[in-house]
Amino acid sequence: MLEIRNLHVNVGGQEILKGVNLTIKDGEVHAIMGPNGAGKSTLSYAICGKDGYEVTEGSVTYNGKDILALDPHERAGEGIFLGFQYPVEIPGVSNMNFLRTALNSQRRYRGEKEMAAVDFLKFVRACAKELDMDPEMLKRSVNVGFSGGEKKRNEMVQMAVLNPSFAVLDETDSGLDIDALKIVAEGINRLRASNKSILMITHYQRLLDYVVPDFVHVLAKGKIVKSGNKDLALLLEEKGYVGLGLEENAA
Amino acid sequence: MAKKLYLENTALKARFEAEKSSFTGSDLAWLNNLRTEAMAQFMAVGIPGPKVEEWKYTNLTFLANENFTALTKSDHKKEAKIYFDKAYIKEIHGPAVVFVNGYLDRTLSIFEGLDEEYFSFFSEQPQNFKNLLENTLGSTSFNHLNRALVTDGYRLVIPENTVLDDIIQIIHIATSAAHMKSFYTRTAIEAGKNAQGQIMESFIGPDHVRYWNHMISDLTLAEGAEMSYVQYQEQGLQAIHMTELHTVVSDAANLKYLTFQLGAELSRTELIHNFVGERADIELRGAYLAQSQQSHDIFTRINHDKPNCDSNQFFRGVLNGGGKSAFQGKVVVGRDAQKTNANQSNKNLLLDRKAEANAKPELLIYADDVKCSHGATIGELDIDQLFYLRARGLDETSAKGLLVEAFISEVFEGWNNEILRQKFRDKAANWLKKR
Amino acid sequence: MAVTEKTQQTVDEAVGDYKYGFITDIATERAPKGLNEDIIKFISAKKNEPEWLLDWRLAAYTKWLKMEEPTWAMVDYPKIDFQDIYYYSAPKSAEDGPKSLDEVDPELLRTYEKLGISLKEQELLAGVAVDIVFDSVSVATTFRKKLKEAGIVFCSISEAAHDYPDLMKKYLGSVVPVADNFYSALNSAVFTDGTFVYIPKGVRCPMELSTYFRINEANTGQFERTIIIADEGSYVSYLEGCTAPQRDENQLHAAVVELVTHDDAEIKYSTVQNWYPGDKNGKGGIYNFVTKRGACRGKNSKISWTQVETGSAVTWKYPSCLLIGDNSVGEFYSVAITNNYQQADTGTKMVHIGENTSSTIISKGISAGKSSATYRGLVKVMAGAENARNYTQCDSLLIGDKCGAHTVPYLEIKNPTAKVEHEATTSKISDEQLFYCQQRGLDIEDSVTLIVNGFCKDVMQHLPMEFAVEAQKLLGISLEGSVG
Repeated sequence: MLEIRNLHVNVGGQEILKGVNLTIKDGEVHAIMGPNGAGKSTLSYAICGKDGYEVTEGSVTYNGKDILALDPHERAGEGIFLGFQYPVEIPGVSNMNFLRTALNSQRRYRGEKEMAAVDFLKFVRACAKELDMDPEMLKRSVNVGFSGGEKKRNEMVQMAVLNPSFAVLDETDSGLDIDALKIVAEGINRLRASNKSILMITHYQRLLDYVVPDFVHVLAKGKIVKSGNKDLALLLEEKGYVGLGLEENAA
Repeated sequence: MAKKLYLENTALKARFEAEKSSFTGSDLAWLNNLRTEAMAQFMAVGIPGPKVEEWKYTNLTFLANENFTALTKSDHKKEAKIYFDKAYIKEIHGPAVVFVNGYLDRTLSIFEGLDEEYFSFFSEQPQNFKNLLENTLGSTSFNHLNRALVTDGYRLVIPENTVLDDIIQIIHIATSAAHMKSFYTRTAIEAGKNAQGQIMESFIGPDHVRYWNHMISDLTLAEGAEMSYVQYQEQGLQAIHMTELHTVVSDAANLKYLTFQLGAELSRTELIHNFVGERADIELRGAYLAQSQQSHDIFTRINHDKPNCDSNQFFRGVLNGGGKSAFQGKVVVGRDAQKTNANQSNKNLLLDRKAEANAKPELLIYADDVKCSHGATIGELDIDQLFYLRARGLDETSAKGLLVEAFISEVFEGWNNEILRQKFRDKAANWLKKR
Repeated sequence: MAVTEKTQQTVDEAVGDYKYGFITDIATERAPKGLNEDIIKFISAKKNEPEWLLDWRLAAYTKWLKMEEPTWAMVDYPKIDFQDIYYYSAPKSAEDGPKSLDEVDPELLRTYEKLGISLKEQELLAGVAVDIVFDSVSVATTFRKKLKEAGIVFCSISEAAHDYPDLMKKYLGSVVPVADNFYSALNSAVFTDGTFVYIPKGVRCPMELSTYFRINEANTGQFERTIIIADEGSYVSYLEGCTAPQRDENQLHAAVVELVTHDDAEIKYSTVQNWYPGDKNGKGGIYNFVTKRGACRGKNSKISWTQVETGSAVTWKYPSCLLIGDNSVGEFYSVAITNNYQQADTGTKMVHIGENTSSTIISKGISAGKSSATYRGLVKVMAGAENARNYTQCDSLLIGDKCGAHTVPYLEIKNPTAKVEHEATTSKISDEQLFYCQQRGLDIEDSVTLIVNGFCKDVMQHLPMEFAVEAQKLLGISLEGSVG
């Protein structure tokens, strides 16, 4: 599904990723852990094409397609979803309107028919209900005045509605209490299917109790320095990055 | 076009001609020429009339008719001493520079603890003011008038890396001899690289004496310099009081300024600031209290032409019967001034039916990556707050007094000197009690 | 900043495509160029006006001659030669006046089809009564019969001068005095047509009334006059839209709108202004110098202005409210978008005269390209206006670093029981917002449109449904891809 080869990324003239290799097959769930400043968020932004994240070397192919040549919205149209660490507020734009515009844009990109307003309404309400979101929140402006937990939950609702084939979740678990964490985990597990893949970026092992990954990688100083199964995460939790000989970044 | 908007006063011209030979520095050719030219420039424009946008809320028509003459020296030592004792803040100690009716008074001044080399005075060393007076960039008609008729003034130069620990008190006294007189002072404060200084400037004078004082100050802050500057005015209720402060701020310099307008029939405070360096910071605070026929006019302009600078303005006014105020604040953020933070807040309380408040807080923005905001309110006290206090047993008068006091005190909170903070709080409280 | 360049490019493309820029080729009749008493007499004669109206015009002309163009607004344009303008131009077929839509020149009908206004459809389906003003004259007014049954007068101002002289005499110039300003005086001398509305006591107008203005002829000024009277306890919602062809020279539009509400009456006045803004180099475009003012004369009356300003090379416009009646309410909701070399100096005046009067001002300014948008507003509370309330919110959004966004509010308060609040902010569309939208699948143009529409929501929601959709699309067209 996703193939990252020797990826080098500069941000503000500084090299943050220094040759990342990662292969994610259909249906797999991968977790990337690592100390602060390791380049975890940079990896997610590079995959999704944020401005200012300059790929200097290497490739990212998605279902055989070079996605580095695509605009961010085209990558989204290809089925890549990014769960933001800090979801952005858009005053005056209702969640509902936002989602409908997004879904129909993606459908247009894929050459599919747009969803009728009535069907869409039903569909979104159902998604919100399943993730325990008050339908009233769909009428509110995107993330404006939402608590940290509500924002993350909103990300999960968006993911359910847009139904991507590949999701990058950037610290989706940070700042959540245990109830919210369970809901987020449920949202992720719901997406799991044989033809869908997930890349979770997290600082803590805690989320991995609820969403058990197939593979765990440690990213440090811009490279993947260690890979393993879910036990690697537990080991990390126990011994810390220093204990594993993966020097803690000063930042 | 200008002719119609501006008013003429030929008496000022006549006065200039009569006074010419007795001016300070009348033996200096450059100064005589400069004065003559400045007077001509003033006469060519005139006194701003009510249709001039910058003077929209302060009518100066009377200046065209009233005849303010030059001061003849007379004995006013005793009277001046009384005002000096009133104005000098003993708790601060420190040096004091005193001007009486527009002229330096060495006997009242306290130079102890002050390196006198830092100071020079126009009446003693006019050549030190040559550059200052010759710069006419962006001059208004009153700038020209001040240059033509300048009586005295000080120039303070704080050398590089010098920190002045004491607050320097500068006291401008008017005596009863100043009736129907006008005087024009010109001052400059130049803080060198990483220099630090504190100025407390006060204006005081008798009631029932009508005079017109006009002062222009130039404040230059070199790289990393820090200044705090207070202007406090409690003159008699017939005084006409005008000050202009022109500031130039370099890289990483920091200015904290506070104005407190309590006296005078008419006060006009112009605060014009230019950033010439980056990462600099200007904070302007102001309080004005007016009653009977008083009017206070605060006019600020902040030119953000450089990136990464901050400016904050915080002005509060309380207007009682017959009192009138205007706040005209303008922030201009130029093309290159990205990452500017500019805030402006002006709040006014009207305590009486005959009071009037005007506000014109302007934002002119030409750069996109900036955070600018302004807020202005005019109104009466919050009835919920008032009710809360009354429910706790305060009578209406004291409840109101308390709230108004709190409202105006916000200007003084956060000022870096506790003695001045307390002093101003007391002054405001006293005004409220007496009104 | 690659972002901004890309944005600008898209903006340019968008504006290059002013979609109403066609010219209709129909036979017209014009008065000679220039302005003098004879031209005014010609206009008056063409309209077969009563003597008093001609005298009124001539008096206005005399006053205008002594006045000077205002220069205080933050707009900059070459001096206008008022003798180089046609003051009267009318489609020939209008000579005898069409009695119904069937008599309207088919070319004209096609023009309106192109504008997206099908007169037939409007009449049959939409339930919106439309008055069409083409260059100098009103060419068609729909739904008149039905409105007449309710006692509502909805006609062109020329007809009103004949059919309702008492109303005209009473209200013409009663809110905007002839010599109020340079352009109102000019308009009073030469106004050629416009819309007249009278809603009788207690009548709630059963449908939206609307006027579409179209300037077609070259070198022609358009000077329409609109008067709307809402008598006691009545209500009307009025919509106004405007477009003009793409021409290299600037054209002048100087309208006057007067609204009057009596006791318990309400007028809701909405404008979508899309005059030709000029090309991307600032060539051509309409000079839009408009005086709009409403007087809330009656108790508990209300006037609400909503405007979406996307067109014109230069806009100078301050829809205002005189809150005379006790408990009267004034509202001003505005979106002003400027791009390329457009300049807009717009805002409102709220003058509180009666007791317990209240006003709300919400202004959203969006500037892109090398344009400048200024909000200029006055809130004045007179000494007798007990318990006046005003709330003002002005937000500016800058797109690119070559434009300007300005806020110039005036607060003048002479009553201690007043409560007046003004807030203003300036911001830009953040890269984070854009990336967030794009990541969800929106392309750059749609992302900007969505965010700008969100920014303007507080104003857009006050537009009638029929207009809201059109206005939202317009925002998109004006700013497509403004940030990349």
